[in-house]
Amino acid sequence: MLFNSFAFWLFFIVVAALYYRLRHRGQNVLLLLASYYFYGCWDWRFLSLIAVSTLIDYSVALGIASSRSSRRKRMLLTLSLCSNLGILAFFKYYGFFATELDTLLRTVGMPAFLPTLQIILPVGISFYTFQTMSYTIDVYRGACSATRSLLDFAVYVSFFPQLVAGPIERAAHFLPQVIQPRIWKPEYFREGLFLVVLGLFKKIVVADNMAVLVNTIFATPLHELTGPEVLVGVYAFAFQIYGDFSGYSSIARGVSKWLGFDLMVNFRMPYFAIDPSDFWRRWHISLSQWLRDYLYIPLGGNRQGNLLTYRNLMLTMLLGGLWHGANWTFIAWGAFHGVLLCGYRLWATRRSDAGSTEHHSLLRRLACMTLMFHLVCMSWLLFRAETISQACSLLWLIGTNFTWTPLTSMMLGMLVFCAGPLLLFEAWLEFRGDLESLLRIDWRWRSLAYGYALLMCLCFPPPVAGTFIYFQF
Amino acid sequence: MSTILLEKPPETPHKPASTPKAAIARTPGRSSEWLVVLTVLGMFVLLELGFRFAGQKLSKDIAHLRSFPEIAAELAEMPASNGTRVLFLGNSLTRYGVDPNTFRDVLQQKYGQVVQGIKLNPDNTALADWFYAYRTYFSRRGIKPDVLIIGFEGGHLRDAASHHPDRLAQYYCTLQDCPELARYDLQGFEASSGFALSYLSSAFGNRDRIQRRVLDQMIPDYRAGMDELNRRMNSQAGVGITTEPDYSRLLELIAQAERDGVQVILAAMPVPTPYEFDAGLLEVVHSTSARLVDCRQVPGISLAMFFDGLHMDEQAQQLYSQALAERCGPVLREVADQKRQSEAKLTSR
Repeated sequence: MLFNSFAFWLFFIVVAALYYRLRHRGQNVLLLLASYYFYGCWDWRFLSLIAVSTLIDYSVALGIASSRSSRRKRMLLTLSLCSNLGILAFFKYYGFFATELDTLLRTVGMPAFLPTLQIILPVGISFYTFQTMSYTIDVYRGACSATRSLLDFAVYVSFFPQLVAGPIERAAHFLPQVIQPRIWKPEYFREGLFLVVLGLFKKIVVADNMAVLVNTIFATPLHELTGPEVLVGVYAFAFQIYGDFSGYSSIARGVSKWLGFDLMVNFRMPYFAIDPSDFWRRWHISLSQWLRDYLYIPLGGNRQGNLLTYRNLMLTMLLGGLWHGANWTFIAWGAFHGVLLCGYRLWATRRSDAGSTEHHSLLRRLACMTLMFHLVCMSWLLFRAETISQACSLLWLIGTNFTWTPLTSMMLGMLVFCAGPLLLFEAWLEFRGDLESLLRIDWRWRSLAYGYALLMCLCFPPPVAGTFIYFQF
Repeated sequence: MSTILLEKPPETPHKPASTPKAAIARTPGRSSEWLVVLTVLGMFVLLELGFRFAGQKLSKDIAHLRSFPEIAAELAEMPASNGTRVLFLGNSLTRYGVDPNTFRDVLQQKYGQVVQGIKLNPDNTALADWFYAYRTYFSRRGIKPDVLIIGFEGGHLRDAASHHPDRLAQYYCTLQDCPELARYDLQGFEASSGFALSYLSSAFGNRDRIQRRVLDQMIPDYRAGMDELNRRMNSQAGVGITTEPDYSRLLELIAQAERDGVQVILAAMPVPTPYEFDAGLLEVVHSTSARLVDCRQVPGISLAMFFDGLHMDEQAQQLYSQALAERCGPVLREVADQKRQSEAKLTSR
């Protein structure tokens, strides 16, 4: 059930109509049933995984909270981590590592005979696994208290708007909203409407239209491609993945607002980042904060000297890449971003040592944004390619073949037509420094903006409605 | 990951998610948001009205689709005594390729036959659309041509869902067609919902027209680029498809025509890329009263005569219409003879 489908909106109308007739506990029961139904529409068999994950972390957190022995607390935490990561590893990484190990052993003449299983990847497994793990770790750290209500905890894990593609919510932020009775605020309707309209525009007009171009370019045999086609294809993918993922997050936040919940902001105009560090403050914020709090800082962060800081950065980004999936291209994508962060840190430290002050003129900011955008695009090439060798070949083509074709003109035109208005809108938000600027202007302008966005969704849908990319993670 | 690296606030601090003070003072009330919703709904209503009243000005094809009832009425008004009534059913290949006047003149001169022809040729359609067009506008209304000539190439006659379920909803189908729609064209809730919305809303059912017109105007090389994109997508999609095509909908259409007393002629049209008849199609022809007229090769038509790489120019149109008339002549004579015999029987009774 996709957010951009009739089925979802029918489902949501039914849920919302019932929801506002119920008291708090009834609302939570309804949310749990609706969330399980929503997930079951993808594949009901994997509901058991969510249930198991929920039961384990619920029990472990209660055990940790009631235990006075730090050894026992550690043991319980280890149990939770092993079971969550075990499930994740089995479903997401077993096939990849089994194949790679088999290849490695065969090259040295030792056939491994590892069983190869055709494992279906449960939708959104990385998202809800990270969410449940953060709860147990926070309870262990004393950052949040364990809930005694299994119902509330189950809603926290499976809340349908963000179940399959985030944002990855923290218990300290989201669980109290589940536990406390929801207080309806009039601005929730306004904010929800804005987020839903923006999300639909990003998904239908930007992401899905770009997907047609990107899929064709990346599936075309190399000898039929030209450099400009690949370059525009990579730009298109940059907007496809942004529109797709931030569109999903936006709709998830909007729908949650309409149910009285406030989910965290997951994207802040990432293509206006001026450096690698800035980019990660703006892109998939819930994941980057998760990795920071539960991986980078426990590894030592930047408190143990330069070399270890670089090691920690690289490890964090490599695992961030691996989180996206079991493929060398994702690992290379993580490594690329790790190198960017390390390089930038080195450069910034030297500048700082030299006493240089950070003052950015508009022109310089624009140059930095352009450079950063192209570096990010290079990482998207790694991310989208089927193999590292395909990524290298495409990069080579960009640098060596300059033949302009009608397809390039058309793709560039589509890119400007679909993503240009979004980019202009985000430039305005960036200028105002307020993500909800549109809610603070005269209602007539807002009507025009919504009218434009929805008419574009109506009149410029893609040839085939696409699923959301991040569901696979 | 900002704090990973520098642990300092962003260069341009974003305001917090909570509403700034200045903004609170200007935050509109709840009623203004309903005004926004009403205004947006108003825009949709305007678009809908625009389409209902002036949609035909947007595209020649919409004008043609909306003229189906008049075309059917024109056929109904043709006196049976004035000769064999022929309905040419097809898509833009038929629109550009068939000249009913040439067809009529050749039959008159070569076979001494009198025919009256009319064309129904909506763009970008295939059997999925022609099936409903024939049933809705001719068969169900009791308007029956003597001969139905279906112009096709390649896979036009194979079983496949319509490319335009929205147009089926707007122009071709009625609620009586639901069983066939569910069987062939609308797979799942999404397709059915889109169909229902297109049935109700002219703007929704014709939205691809706006898309095409706007993109044609605004994007350089849009047509050429899309053609190339489609070519690449088709070549990727075509890999590995080995299943034999089915023709059950064609069989249904022929059976309906047989019940209506209409002779079906399947006219294979010339296109730049050569194509073969598959065994399934030949079996359909073998097992029914339908005739296959092979005009894939017409003497005199060269590649240069396909002005856009697919459609025939005027010279090719003349050559094809002559060839079609010559090759359909014997069948049309049979039909005319049968018609005369049955009329004679009726008179003798």
